[in-house]
Amino acid sequence: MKRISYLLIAAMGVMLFACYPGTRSISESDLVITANEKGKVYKGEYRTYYMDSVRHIVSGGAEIDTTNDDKILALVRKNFNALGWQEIADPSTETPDVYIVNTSIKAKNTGSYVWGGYPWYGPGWGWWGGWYPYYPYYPAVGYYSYQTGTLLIEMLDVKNADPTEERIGVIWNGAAQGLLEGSYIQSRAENLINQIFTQSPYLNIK
Amino acid sequence: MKKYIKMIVLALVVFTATEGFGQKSFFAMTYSTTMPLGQTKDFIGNYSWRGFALEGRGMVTPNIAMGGYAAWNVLYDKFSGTFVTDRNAGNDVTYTGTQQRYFNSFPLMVTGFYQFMNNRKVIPYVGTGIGAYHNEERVDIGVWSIYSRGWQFGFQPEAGVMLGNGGDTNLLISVKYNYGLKTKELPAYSGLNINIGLAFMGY
Repeated sequence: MKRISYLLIAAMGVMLFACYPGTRSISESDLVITANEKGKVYKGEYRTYYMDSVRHIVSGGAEIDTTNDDKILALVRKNFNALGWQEIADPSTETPDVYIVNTSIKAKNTGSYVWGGYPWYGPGWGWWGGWYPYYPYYPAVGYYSYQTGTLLIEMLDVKNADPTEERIGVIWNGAAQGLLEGSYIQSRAENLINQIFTQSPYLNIK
Repeated sequence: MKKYIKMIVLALVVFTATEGFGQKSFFAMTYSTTMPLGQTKDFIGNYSWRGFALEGRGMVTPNIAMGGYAAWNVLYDKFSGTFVTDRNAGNDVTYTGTQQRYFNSFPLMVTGFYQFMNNRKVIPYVGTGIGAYHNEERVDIGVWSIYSRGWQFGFQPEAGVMLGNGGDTNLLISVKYNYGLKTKELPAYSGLNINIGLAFMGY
């Protein structure tokens, strides 16, 4: 009887436990971060910007994909213009106050893990039928492969660049990052880019 | 780390050495819930229903027991929104996303108790544990995990009651206050456990 009690309690413990409980959807892995130099006043000091193509960085065997570059540039441009900024089309005829650098970073992450020791934890819940309380006697091996995409928008302070030291400061940047998995990648990316500007109200120079 | 191992060894020695006292020693398994307090509550405010504890006690006098306590408590919260921080080297940093926060606590305590009315079916007691917590704070945001973990020296005052009919298996209910001292890696830990489970007498 005692042994049964031990087993019951131990089973209860196993079912209730996980170091890191909870689940998250693909869109819940989206993240937007913006940072600006503290105390920097944009209004009045900066007015014009210049922006050219999207730069690409890839790692882990991911491939460069330029098909969305024009859409990205159009959306960034639309947001800056809506905040009162004026685009300079040709920097050789007029020097802009800031230079906007757009960088797309794509990374492929692959690996494997062994989770025989923690059968109740991890992405395998569904594999074993939800609350099914048994687990294999041998270590189970899982494989994962996912791609992350990051768009980094940086604002370079051309107006206050130091030509002798050849230095130019980054006074604001915004990054949108998400998993390049599942459906709705396009709409998620658009929402994230718009969020970069929504959470940077100090960029409004109107 | 060595001093914590010494404490655990001491607890086991005390427990083993006192087994002969009237066969009143016991081994208990309890379900353990946690109400976070203080800075722990600032990190995760949710009441935790995830926890499990093991303990053993032996009588050193008719009313005084000593033993050891080990547990695993997991706190969890998930929320989304936009957050502003200015802690990043003179920059204002704003981030938007879904955060999942975890706090895992593994207390390892040497315990001492005073038990009232040992010859009754209801045995109330008070006591305290002293030892260490191995704690981990973790924040998952985006595809990133940020965590800090370490040992925290601490203590665990407790009041409880054992209910039974004099048989081999009794019901054990207790309330424990936990306090782990602040370290370089972690803020002070505090929380209240309510534990309920079975005590198997004569071990």
